[in-house]
Amino acid sequence: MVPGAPPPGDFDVPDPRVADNPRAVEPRDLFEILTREHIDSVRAFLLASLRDNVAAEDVLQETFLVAWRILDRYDRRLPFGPWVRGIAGKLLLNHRRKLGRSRVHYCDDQLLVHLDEGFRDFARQQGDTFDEKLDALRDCLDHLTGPQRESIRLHYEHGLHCKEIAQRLGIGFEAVKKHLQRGRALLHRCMHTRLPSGDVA
Amino acid sequence: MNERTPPIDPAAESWRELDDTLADGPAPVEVPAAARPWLAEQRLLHGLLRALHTADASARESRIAGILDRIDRERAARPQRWWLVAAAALVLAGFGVWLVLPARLPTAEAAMERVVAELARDVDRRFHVELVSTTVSGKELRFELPLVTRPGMRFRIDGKLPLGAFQLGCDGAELWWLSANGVFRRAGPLAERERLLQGLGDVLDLGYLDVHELVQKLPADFELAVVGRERTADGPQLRIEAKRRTSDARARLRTAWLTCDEDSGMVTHLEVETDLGRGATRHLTLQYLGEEPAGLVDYRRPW
Repeated sequence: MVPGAPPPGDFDVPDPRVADNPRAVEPRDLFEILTREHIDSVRAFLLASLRDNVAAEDVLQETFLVAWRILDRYDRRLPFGPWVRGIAGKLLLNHRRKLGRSRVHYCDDQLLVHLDEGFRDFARQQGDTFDEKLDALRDCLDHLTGPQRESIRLHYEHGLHCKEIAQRLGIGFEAVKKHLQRGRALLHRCMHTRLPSGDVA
Repeated sequence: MNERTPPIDPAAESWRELDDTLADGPAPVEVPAAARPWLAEQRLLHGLLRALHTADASARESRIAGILDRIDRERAARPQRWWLVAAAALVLAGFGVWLVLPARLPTAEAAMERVVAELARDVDRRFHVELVSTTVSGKELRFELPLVTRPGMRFRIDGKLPLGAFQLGCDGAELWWLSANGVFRRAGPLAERERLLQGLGDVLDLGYLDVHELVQKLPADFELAVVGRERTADGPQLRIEAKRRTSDARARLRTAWLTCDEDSGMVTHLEVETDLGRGATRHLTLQYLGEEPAGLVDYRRPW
């Protein structure tokens, strides 16, 4: 999970632990900057695995508190995002052990590595903020077929379950699942093609 | 499908059942290694789409403020207990479990959010209500009532007050009550609650019977604090105290205490202290008894 080099756009922050660094900032101030920079991507990372929004908020807060407590272990030559998502991943696995499989989607170390790679790719999308990077997703939604887009809208925007969507669209439950899964796969491919040139695998 | 749609991947089709983001059941026990990249891709988009549709600038700011507030509190507390932390770190390092720290008390706001989210579930819940009223003259009156409630001002009581046995209910729009012998009955819009309840005496405050509504309103006007955690046979229980921030003379509810199940977020015990003026008080205790089977409770008036 440890990447090789900071991604483009990862800002250069002075090391607060170097006492004679003329640019030294208070660790707490530095941490606030890092929190503001990464909280949205860590939240999305947790929402990918936790069913309950409130539980995601709890684990999100715990993630940044643990990160603060062990900040001296963070190697500032490496990007902060994967490091803090690594902490979130460990807390997720703890949470899953504690609450069981009904509260947390399938998780293991390997799956979390793949998921983290996805978030690292997402961090390379154009835009300075998480919300600006989400523009790629917003644009890609226009590339879906009508039923895929409608299923995704009803599920994520209106919070409807597959059964309710099936009733609303007059199609079968399995058809809704297919629209949602194929829609997400298409969004993934579409967003991959929108990575800045040279980044596409 | 439009022209840009790539062909369907047959392998991915066979993994569809492994994706538990679209099902209510538990997650699969094991997933084949080959399916993990596809599953991670689905989950990445699941997380991004959820984030996209729950983006809220003010919630984001309060999230950040909550984290920084806890950090500041930890920093303030650290000098007094550095030796304790060092000793604990040594012990934990020895066992190689540095990250598996015992759970800390959550913020009262976070705990309350969980409580409200759990109470918002559209199910019927049964509570045992104990009501202790102290009159201006110091006389104490005690009643015990069974309550079934559902979010949306739906509740039903089949109990006994000084005036006799009765049924009282509300279906969210219409409030009604019926004496056990069927002789006396009233029904009307919820907005006319004061007039409708005159026959029952001033012993019930309907605002406290919609438990979800009551708890949901607490964070706005009350100072919340987690005051303890108990380990019981049912799991860890958090105790939250809510004290009114302002001294609004019109406000009758002064203090509330909640005990909630830390795993589920469900409030298991609720106490409310109200000040009726001139020394008169009312103390309401609700003990959670569990969910009612679906479809058994009818909140509509029985006639």
